[in-house]
Order: sequence, then structure tokens, then C-alpha cells
Amino acid sequence: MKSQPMDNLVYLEYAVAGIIRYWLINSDYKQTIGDRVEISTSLNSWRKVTEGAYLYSEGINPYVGDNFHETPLGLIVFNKLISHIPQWIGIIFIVCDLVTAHVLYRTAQTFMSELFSRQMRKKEKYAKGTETLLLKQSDLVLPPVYVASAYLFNPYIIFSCVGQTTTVFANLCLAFTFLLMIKGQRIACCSVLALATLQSLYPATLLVPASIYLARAESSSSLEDKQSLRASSCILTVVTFISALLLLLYISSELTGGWEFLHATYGFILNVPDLRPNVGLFWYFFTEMFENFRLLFICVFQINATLLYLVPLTFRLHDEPMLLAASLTALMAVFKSYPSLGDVGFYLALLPMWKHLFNFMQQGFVVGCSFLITSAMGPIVWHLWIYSRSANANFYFGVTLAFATAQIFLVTDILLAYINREFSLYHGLHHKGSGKTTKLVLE
Amino acid sequence: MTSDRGMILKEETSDGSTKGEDAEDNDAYRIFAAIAYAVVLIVIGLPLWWKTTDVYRVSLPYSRIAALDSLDVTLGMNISISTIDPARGGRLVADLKDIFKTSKLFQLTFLALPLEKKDLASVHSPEDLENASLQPRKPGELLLLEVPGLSRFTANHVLAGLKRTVYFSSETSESESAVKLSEVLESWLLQEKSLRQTVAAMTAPTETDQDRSGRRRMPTAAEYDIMITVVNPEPEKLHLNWDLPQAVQDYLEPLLQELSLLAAYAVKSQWLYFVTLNVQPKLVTETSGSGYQHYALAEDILPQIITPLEKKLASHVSRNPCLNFIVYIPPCEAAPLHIYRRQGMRVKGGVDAFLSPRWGGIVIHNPSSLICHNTSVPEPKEYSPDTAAIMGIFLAQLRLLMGIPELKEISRVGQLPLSTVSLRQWEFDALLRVRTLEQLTSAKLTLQSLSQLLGEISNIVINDAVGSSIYRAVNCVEHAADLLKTGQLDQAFNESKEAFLSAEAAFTDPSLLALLYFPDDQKYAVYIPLFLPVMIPVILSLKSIHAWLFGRMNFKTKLKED
Repeated sequence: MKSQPMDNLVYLEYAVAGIIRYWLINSDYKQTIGDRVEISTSLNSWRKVTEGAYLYSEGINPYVGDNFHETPLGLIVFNKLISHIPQWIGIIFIVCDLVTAHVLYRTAQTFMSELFSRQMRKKEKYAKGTETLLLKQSDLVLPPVYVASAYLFNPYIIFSCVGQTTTVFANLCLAFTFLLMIKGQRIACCSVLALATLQSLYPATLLVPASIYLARAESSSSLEDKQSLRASSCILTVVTFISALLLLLYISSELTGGWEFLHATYGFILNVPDLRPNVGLFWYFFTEMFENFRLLFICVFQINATLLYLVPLTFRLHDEPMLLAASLTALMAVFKSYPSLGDVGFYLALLPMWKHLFNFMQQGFVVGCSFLITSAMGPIVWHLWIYSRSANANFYFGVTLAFATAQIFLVTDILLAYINREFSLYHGLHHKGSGKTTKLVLE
Repeated sequence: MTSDRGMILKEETSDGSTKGEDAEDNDAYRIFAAIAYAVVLIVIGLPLWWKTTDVYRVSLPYSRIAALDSLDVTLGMNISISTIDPARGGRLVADLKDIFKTSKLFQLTFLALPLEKKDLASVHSPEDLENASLQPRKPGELLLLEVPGLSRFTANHVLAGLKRTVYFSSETSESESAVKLSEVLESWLLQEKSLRQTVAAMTAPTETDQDRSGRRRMPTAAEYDIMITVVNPEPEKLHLNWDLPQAVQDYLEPLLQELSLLAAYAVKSQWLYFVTLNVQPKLVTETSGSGYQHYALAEDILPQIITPLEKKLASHVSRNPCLNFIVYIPPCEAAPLHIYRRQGMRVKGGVDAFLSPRWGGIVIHNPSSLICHNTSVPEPKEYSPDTAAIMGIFLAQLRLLMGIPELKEISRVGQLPLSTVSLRQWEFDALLRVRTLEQLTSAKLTLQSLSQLLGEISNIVINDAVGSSIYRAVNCVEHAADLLKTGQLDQAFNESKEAFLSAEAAFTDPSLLALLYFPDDQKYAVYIPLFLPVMIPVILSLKSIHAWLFGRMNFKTKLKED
């Protein structure tokens, strides 16, 4: 409402992004992009979806073989799409992408206003001389536009959409989770989160920031005992999520007449049987693993992807559930078993929400250069390995590892910038603790 | 850095209580975060690592395997003595009991059975005795039968029958018959010394050797291959007309049939052409008498014949032990070929054959001089070997190789000649005993060495199949020992065979070695680069966690005191 010109700008961006995607989908590049391992993995490739839909339409159970890893809900929906409106599928992907961008835009707008109101409340606790660090009203306008642009014009997202990967729909669910989380709608948020968890297991970790948000929304509006209210709210959120997930699983089993889909979807994600190269870290390790250690390392890797950082980050960022959610999404994109560039692009689009932290980031240049270099080198080394046969898997994994390291550096940099800013807000810009100016550095 | 910040934050608590609470809360959350890492890594991670990288091992009965050492293996046996005069029988029983009470391996029970003279009334020859109905049927039993008028048939005082009976004459005095019978029992039927030496040689091979018959006997197996080879060096000059399958069927099959309880036999035959002995026999002219010209093979050269010949035999196509029987027909130019003993004499009986222990035997069968010197017949000359002679030698060699012992000469003791059967049943019983003890001892040693290996090498995998084999082996060993004590020889043999085969199968199973090349240092080389960098900050932060926890507890107690 206040940002009408901004809204217009955003709609223009939608149009331009839509045109770009439409042009790419209808060009010759679509197949090349869709076949690249960085874009489509065994979990989200459209080719597998068409194969599974064909098997399903022929009456064969697509989960019996090793080929199809979509959820039954997805199977039914995609089957209907493919059989009835095949010529509109590209348009549907583009529309989903644009809707995701819009949802992120609205999320960013809500978040900026929430940031501002919280800052107003905490103003008295801040040290003197930190006014330059505070957000101003004018600072609230641009970040949502940046978020939308970062999503619409990110090459990772564009390629992911053009390649027709189901990550587009996963990102849509995740974006809706973020929006409903910040709006405080429990049932809708838990349902969408259950939908996202159904597809790929890892969004379940977002239950924690979601319950923090919902608890905060409930307890801020009442004056009763906050501790027990928050506890009961968290429990209610968890229960709602679990029941939504169980309902979806039950519907899925009814649709396919059995529970084999669990082995093909969750079993596939957890056991990592397919070791085709992708931008993740699992495939290289497990090609070289001795069978004796396989179970240990699968457990270790999956704990690393889900549990290990969840609890400590929750403890540190319990005041900032949105940052917690974004960090968890980023860690998920790096450490999940079959990541793709669509996951990476999603959390990159969330970063402009913390534009005020960019001043405190110390490794921005290194991270940016790493992103550029590894994104360019990845396809080159892949070509050298697969087609020219002059490189080997180590080259590709090295580039992928550098990419993952760059992402980790980005996440830690953002978090450290947050801590830095909080510290500066509470203790002044130049703290004279022991007679000299101190600044926090990550060692 | 974290401890720095902790100190810095605490300095600012003087600014206001709300800030102090916030700082304390922040401190608390920070420590909780570190604790969370430590909990996940140490409390969840360590047991997970321990459980998932455990070497899979089925629980084994180690105590029972160790107890096998002290397993009491004695052979119980019922020996019945039938005399016409019951008093004489009683005295004989007492005497024999006295003689055999010091036996360490045997638990002999002597029974006196009454004998009716009319049972022996229709006996006109030893063969009739054999067909009498009082022969014991069960393997392992013996009957000592007094035969009045044994001197009609033989000059010996004691005659060992073809089945499980020993006949002794009534005319000899009691003490003499007791002595003779005990000698026959000791060295012919029971063979206790040989049994004890076999077991001792297997248990402590550096201290005791096998005796002669033990060195000759083929090792224990469930199946043997018998390979008969006919070697004809010059087939273009001499053509052999010999139906070898029929010869095997006629001569060897009966013995193999009688031995079928011991093991299975696969008989194969082959013909080798253009293979020579690779030794140069000397041409010898007999000085005395006929001036018979022939070729001589010295006894010392005989071992050199076997090795080059074996290369051509293809006797290792299966994993079963193979007995090789070779017939060598010298060509006419090199015939006749005779073997000379070391003393310079020819072998008695005109049989040119020799046996290699645990391997087989070679017969040199010379073509007849009529055929060789018949120059009117064009080459190749036809010759039909003497099947009975060759097969007879093979039978004798087969008996020795399978472990049927040669019998020491005892004065005034004889045996009934083999005519209708190839194997005396008491010989078969002795063979069963020796094989049972061998298999039991081998199974016991295998189980004990496996148990010792498992204790020393922690990387050996015992999967379910191997575990059940070991259990089966231990059960069979214990059961076989029980059966031996009660004298059920054939069942004890079967149980001991099952024990032997199960123990061998368990010990030589390739799945045991699945993880052998993962020594511990390699495992740690895999773990440390991955986990040590993660664990270092956690371990280091444990110190600050500890300091904070104790600081908080002290603070709280101070508040309580105040």
C-alpha cells in the first residue's frame, strides 16, 4: 500500500522474469539445462516423473523399480498434468516460480515491518552512539524488492525452472511455509510444512523456527504466563505438524495402495543408494566407502544434515527465528543427500532481508568470487571428466567441495555479522574494554 | 574468543540488572549450544560408531570348545566269549579282563555266553562256521568262539574269521589260549597302540610321529577319487586290448561297496600315451641258469619315477584326495622290466609293483615274451594284460592306502583267506575306529584353533552359517564321544564324520576373512581426519562448559547462603 511504486516495479520484474523463462523453455537450451547434474538430480528430475507417470497410467506400480522417487500425491498430480495438458506444463512451472517470488516478496515485507517494530521496542536497551546501525523507515522498502529480484533473476533459479525440476514446487511450499510462519497461521503453516517434508525429508527441521514464531505470536497477544503459554503453543504446533504429515502419508498410501512408496522416497533419501554426481557431498564419499563403514557414515552424514546444527543454532538464534529458518534452509541445501542448484538459489534469495547486516560481513568478496568461479568451473570440469576423459571424479568433487565451502562461509559470515551487530548495538560501536578498540573476528 | 566475550559481558553487568539478566541468559544459551554439540557428538555419536562398526560375530560356545580337551574318549566294546565249558569261559573272561584292565583307550566288557555243542555239530569247514547264526551283527562287537576240533581245519590254535569272530581251539590249555587270544586282540583286532599313536601324532605333531600304517593311510575325507591310469609309451608298436571299466567293475567295486560306509568313491580311468618312465634301467643278464636277459630298476630310483609321471596325471581336478593307480606297460624293447630290492634281489613272487604312501601305487606289467618276440605280426602288436594279476595288486594297494593294516605274524595264529569278500569285518571295524578317532581329534583341534584365533584376531567375522557349523561340530563331537563309550561304532563314526566336516567347513569358510585386511590402524586412519577436526572445538569447549556450570552452582549456593 505504501510502496505502490515498489509494487509496480515488482510486477514489472515478474513480467521480465516470466519472459526470460518462457523464452528459455521454448528454446533449444531447455534439454541441455534440464539434463545437467547440477540442476536435476534423481529426486527432482522431470524425466523420472514422466517415466513414473507413464508406468502409473499403464497400471504398473512405479515404486516397485528403482527409478521413481516422487511422492504419490505428486505422482497423481503430475500424471493428470501430463495426460491432459502437456502443452501447458512449461507455463505451470513459470507460474509457480513467479508465485514463489511473490510469496517471498510478501514474506520479506512482513519481516521488515516486524524487524522495525521489534527494534522500536528494544531501543532503550541499546548503547549510545549506535543510531547509525538502526533501521530507518526508508530502509524497509527496498529489501523486499531485492528479495523478489534475487529470486527471479538468480541464474540457479532460472535454470531450475527451465529444466522443469520439481524443486520449483518444493520451493513454492517452502516459501509458503515462511510466509505463513511469519503471519502466525498455525494450521496452514503446519500443513504446508508437512507437504514440503513429504516431498523431501529435510524441511522437517523448519518446525523449530515455525514453532518459535507461532509461540511468539500467541504469547505476545496475551498477558498470561509466557513460559507455559509458549510451551503449550510449541507442543500444539508439533502435534499439528505430525498429524498433518501422518494424514498426508495415509492419503499417499491410499493412492498407491500400499507403503512401498516410503522405501522409494524416504528410504531413498536416507540410504543414498544412487551415487550419481551432483553438487552435494554424499556421492563422492560413498563411492569410496567400504561396505563395513557404510551404515556408520550414512548415520553421520544424515545427523550432520539434520540434527547437529539444529539445536545449537536454536539456542543462539532463539530471538531471530527467521534468521534461524534461513540458516537451516541454507545448511539443508549444502548437506542434504541430493541437493540441486534450485535449493541453493532459494536461500540466496532470502539473504537481502538482512541487508542491514551486509556491512558487518567480512568475507563477502571471497564468498562471491568462490561462487562465481565454482559455478563456472563446475561444468568445465564435468566436461573434462565425462567427455574428454582427461580429468576424473576428484576434479569435479573438488569444485563441488569449494562450492559447498563457499556456502558455509556465507552462512557463518551472515551469522557472525548478526552477532557482531547485536554486540555493537548493546555495547556501542567502539568498545573500550581493556583500553583499546575491540572488534569480534571469527577465528 | 568465547571466554573473552564472557568476561567482557560480565563487566557490563554493572550497567543495569536487566542487562545482567540478558547477559546471563545469553551466556546460558551459549553454553547450552556448546553442550548440545557435545551431546550429539559424544552421547549419540560414540555409541553409534561402536554399534555400526562392530565386527559381526555370532556367540560361540567357547567354554564347551575348551572343555573338549578334557573330553573322555574311550571306546567301549562288548566281547563275548562262548565256550562249551562255562567254567572255562568264566576263567577266560577273568584272565582277559585282567590283561586288558590297563587299557587306556578301550573299555572292554567281557561276557561269557553259553554254547551248545549242537550249534557246531554241522560244521565241516571254516566256511560253515562263518555262516552260523551266532555271528555278531553289530559293528564293534566281537565273539571269541571255542571250536572243538579246530585242528581239523588248520594247524593254528587261533583262527580269525571273515566276520566278527575269532575261533580258538579247545585243545590248547587255558593260559595259552588266554595269551594267544590277548595277543590277537591287541595287535590284530583292537590295534590300541596304533590308535593312541594316531591321536598323539595329531595332537602333538612335533613330539610323536605317525606309525607306519598311519603314514601310509590316506587322510580323512568324505570322498575319495580313485584314478586308474594305463601308461603305454609306444602305442604304435604295442596295442593294449583291455576293458578297464569291466575290470574295475569286477575287482574293485566289491571292495569299494564294502567300504562305502567310510566314504564315497569316484573311480576314474585314463590312458596315457607317449609317456615314459624317464629313468634308465640297467640291462642285466642272469648269470645263473637261463641267461635270462632283462632290465632292472633299482629300488632307489623308484621315487624318481613318480614326480614326472604325476605331472601328466591330472589328478588334481577335484578337491578330494586322489589315489592314483598306474599300470606301466614297458615297450617290447625295454621289456621285461623288473624291480630289484636294495639287497640286490628281485621282489619275491614276481610282482613288480610299489606303493607310495598317501598317493597311490604303480604296477609294472611286462608284455609277454611270446607277443614281443613274434616278428611275423605287423605292428602294432596286440596284447591283453592279465587283468586278475594287475587288479589283485591294485586291491592290495588299495587296502593299504585306505588304512586296513598289515597284520603282524603271530605264531600259531592264522586268518581265513579272503574269497567271497574283499574285506574282513573286524578289519573294517578297526578301520572305523581309527577313522572315528582321527575325525574326532581333527574336529577338536580345528575347533580349538579357531577359538584361539578368534580370541587373538578381532577382525574375523563369524556369520550365522559358520556359527551354526561350529555348534553342529561341537554337538557332534560330544555326541560321538558318548556313542563311542556305549560301543555304537557306526553311529559314532557318522557323528564324528559330521563333526569333522562341519569343523572344516567352518574353519575354511571364506567369509571369515571378509574384514581381515582392516587392521585397526587403517580404521583409525579413516576416522581421524574426518572426526578429529570436529571433535577438537567440542573437547576444548568442555572446559568452559565445566567452568560455567560450576560457576553457576557456586553463584546459586551463594545466593542461598545470603
